[in-house]
Amino acid sequence: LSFSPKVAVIGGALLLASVAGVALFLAPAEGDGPATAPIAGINISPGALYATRFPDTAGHVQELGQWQQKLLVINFWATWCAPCREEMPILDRMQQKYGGNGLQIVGIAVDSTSNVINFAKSNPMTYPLLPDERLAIEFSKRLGNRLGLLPHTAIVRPGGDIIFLKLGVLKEAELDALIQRNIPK
Amino acid sequence: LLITLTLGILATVPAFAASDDLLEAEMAFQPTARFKDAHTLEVRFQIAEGYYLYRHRFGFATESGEWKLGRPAIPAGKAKQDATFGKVQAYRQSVRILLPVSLKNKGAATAASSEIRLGINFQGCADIGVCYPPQRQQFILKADSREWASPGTATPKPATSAGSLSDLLKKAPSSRSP
Repeated sequence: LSFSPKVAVIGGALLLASVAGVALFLAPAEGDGPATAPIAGINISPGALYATRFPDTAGHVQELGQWQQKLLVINFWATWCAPCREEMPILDRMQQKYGGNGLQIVGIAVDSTSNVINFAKSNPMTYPLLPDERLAIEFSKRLGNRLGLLPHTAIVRPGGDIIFLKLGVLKEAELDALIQRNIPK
Repeated sequence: LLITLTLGILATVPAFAASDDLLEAEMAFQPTARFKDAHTLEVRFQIAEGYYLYRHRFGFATESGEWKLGRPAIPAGKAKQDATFGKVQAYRQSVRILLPVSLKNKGAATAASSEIRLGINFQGCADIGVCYPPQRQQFILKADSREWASPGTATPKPATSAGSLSDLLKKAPSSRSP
């Protein structure tokens, strides 16, 4: 479970950062258009992102690269995080709605495996829950989450462009629209 | 297009929570600790506006083998109906906690018994809808001093960690509201 030393330093983002309050979250690309401008705060290359691995609740290693051709929604959460748990049913509905059409949601937990297993017994999700307390925070920070706050969500287009980052609870309509605009055709 | 973009911005801004706009955990919650008297530790959190701490997430432990902690006296917090966790208690602005403390061997004063290493666990959130990972702060308090100490002021090591807290949290008092 290691991160690649390759680091994609996101440059030329000062202008973007000056409007970061908006730009961080208005990054969705339209359709199959060109890659979007990089989002300030991201400190990971597509290669390193897809090489990132987390254990699932059964202890099997899951590499994010297996979903490279999908629209990947990476959601950081924890069982102790109330807003995280509130938004998980939204994510689950999206997985059910678009999972057969190129969407993959993964829930990376800043939490222990046992907590996540217990949670999943009473709250089964149709997308994988991947717990690793320490690595989850590290990874989240590389995706622009300086303080390791939760919930945190990143949306990655097929190929590795990160088009959306958000701290806080996603709204269902907002997420649905983002998915529709960016899901592989 | 301009109208669409503007609407998009307006629709997005209320949910916006850039990490840069939020305080570091130690600034949001500002824990300090001291010997109140020879038998009591006093822990205070000064909580920034817009942030809160959960009562049931406090935990206290000492790595100093010569000392033992008693049951913390945590005042009642404000009841909060949490959609996920049910009825919990939370603190805003400030909270003061008293911790009974005693030497295991009362007879012999040693170098080790002149100070206590106190580990404090806490966890809180910001009103905008984000939560901080569980925090652990380490204090070194001098038994002969009544001065307030900030986390790690007597040690060069970073005092905050967001993981490996399970042991300490297990020692946290059961403090959920009934």
